[in-house]
Amino acid sequence: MLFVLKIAIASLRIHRLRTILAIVGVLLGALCLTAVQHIGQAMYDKAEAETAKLGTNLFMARSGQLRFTPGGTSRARREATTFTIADAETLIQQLPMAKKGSPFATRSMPVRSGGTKVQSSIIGVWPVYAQVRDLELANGRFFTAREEEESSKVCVLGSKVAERLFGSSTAALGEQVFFFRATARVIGVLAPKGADIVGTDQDDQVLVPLSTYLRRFANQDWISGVYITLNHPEDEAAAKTAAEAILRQRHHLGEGKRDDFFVMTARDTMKVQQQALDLVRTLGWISSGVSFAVGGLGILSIMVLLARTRRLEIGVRRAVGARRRDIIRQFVFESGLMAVTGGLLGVLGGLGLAALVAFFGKMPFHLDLALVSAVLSGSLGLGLLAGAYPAWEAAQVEVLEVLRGE
Amino acid sequence: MSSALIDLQRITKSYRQGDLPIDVLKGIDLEIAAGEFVALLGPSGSGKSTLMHILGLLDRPTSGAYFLDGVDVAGLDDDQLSGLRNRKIGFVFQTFYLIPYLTALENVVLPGLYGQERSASIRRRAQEILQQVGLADRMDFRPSQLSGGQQQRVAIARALLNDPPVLLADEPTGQLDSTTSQEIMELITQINRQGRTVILVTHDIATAACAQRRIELHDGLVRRD
Ligand SMILES: Nc1ncnc2c1ncn2[C@@H]1O[C@H](COP(=O)(O)OP(=O)(O)OP(=O)(O)O)[C@@H](O)[C@H]1O
Ligand SMILES: [Mg+2]
Repeated sequence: MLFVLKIAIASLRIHRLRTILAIVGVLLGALCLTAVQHIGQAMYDKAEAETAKLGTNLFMARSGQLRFTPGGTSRARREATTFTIADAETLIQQLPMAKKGSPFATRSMPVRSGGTKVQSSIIGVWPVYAQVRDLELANGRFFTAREEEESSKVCVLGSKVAERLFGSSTAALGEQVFFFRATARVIGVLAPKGADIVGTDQDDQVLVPLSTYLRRFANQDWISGVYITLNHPEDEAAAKTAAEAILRQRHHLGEGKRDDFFVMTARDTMKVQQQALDLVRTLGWISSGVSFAVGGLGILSIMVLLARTRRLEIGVRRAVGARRRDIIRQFVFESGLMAVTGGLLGVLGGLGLAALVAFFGKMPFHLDLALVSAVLSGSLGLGLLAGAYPAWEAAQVEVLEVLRGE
Repeated sequence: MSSALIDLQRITKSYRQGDLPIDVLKGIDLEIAAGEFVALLGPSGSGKSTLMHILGLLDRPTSGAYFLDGVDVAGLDDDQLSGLRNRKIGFVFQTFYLIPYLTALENVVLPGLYGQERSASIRRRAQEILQQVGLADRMDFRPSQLSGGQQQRVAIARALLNDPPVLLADEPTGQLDSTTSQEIMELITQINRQGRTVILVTHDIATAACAQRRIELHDGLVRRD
């Protein structure tokens, strides 16, 4: 067997460049398929993990209209000024499945302390927001109902903001920070939480009482939206429909008028992301299919070439006792060898690539053994298929034609 | 049916060239016993190679019967003929027919790939035979790195790998100078002395002198035996 392998390699070496090209075709197919599917899975898993982090029983109603970026991160564009605290309160009170909720208003603003200035999202919320979003404090405390009522000039910093402005979360406590046209005292710093699924980095936020935000910072009476937790995650769909009906009515949106708000659940965002990922995966299937086809054609062409340039070898083999089926077996073996070599290298490369991407993208990476074995057996099947016709042609070589044809 | 190793009865071979048939062999009757050393002579075009190909099971006669070791080969299919070639026949050609991209050893091993034997023992025997033909130090050389005489030795070693009872050599010295020819003939004579039946095609009377029996072919018929 080892010897057969050696002879096969020796024969393939005569057309080294073509052999390599054929192998590379299969390699690219296998690499593409392995990498895309593994990276896709890793992104899926990451999206799921982040949804869990956001809270699966959380939903959000936000003013404006929703657009999606190609990457799958959702984004609210075209802000509206029609969403009011009354809307938020109505939703929290009237939705039977609602547990808790907090209205919010947000915008990006420069935050300054001493000589340091950072751009950050200021978000005005009710004290209950800490429970709604499951926030933990690294230092200090969250603001109270009283501070909300009195529009106190206090704030809670995300961990990154605290670090950038003061070097550490402990140093921030009690310090004054300056906003666009006001100041606030730092009473708490959040524990690091990472980006949520809406793409907001929760560590890069400054939380203030909603009334403070509306009256002192933004000077507006409309809000951005409301976060509501549900009693059961299964209530999502029903809650969404009910919330939409309530808001349309409250905003006097007649038949045929577009919503000036959108309701989004954590699961929705995940679904959108996963749909985008499905597209990526489909593209992965298509492109690796093309690569495989090219690789198969490459193998086919080199095997046809080999069958024609190795007539002497075939004749000699037949003369010393090879049956036609031995010749067929040999050629199919060689094309299978090329395809499996390409497949194996491609799978290894694809796994390496996926592992790298997962590592740098901080995504969970799981080896998909079923996929790997499918890619490998697919490569083998391709090789056998591509080798079949050339092998048959090789087996038709007549010994005498070779011996006399010199 | 006779007890001869090779028994040809009224063998003919004709080709069609357009409409008119060319009769190359016109009825060959021949018996060759095991262990004989036969030289096949005759002018160019007399059908020596054609006869050798039939003897070597590389070609089928147009008519007539060929018994090899008592078996009527006309009744065998392509696979069975391949098997017989593998076990019973060693063939040596004028132009060696070594595979250029394989080493001497790999060339010798080839017939072993189509038998029942395990590759390790085939390899060992290939090395032994190469040693016997005097190429112990050339096993890993490519044909292009060997002289004509050495290449023919490799071809002979290949023919002997499966220990066939019959060695067919079609002008094995036709491409070699006289000294080398002589060495090759000595090797072939020695192979015959080990008990193998040798049938040798040659134009050279001196070469033919090595054989015990001379058969002259003329115009598709045996003229002198
Ligand atoms: N495939 C074929 N079609 C037509 N004629 C053929 C074919 N093969 C051989 N012949 C003819 O058969 C005749 C005998 O050829 P063969 O090769 O047997 O001669 P030979 O005795 O070996 O000659 P040489 O000594 O030159 O090798 C020649 O006239 C040749 O033209
Ligand atoms: Mg001849």
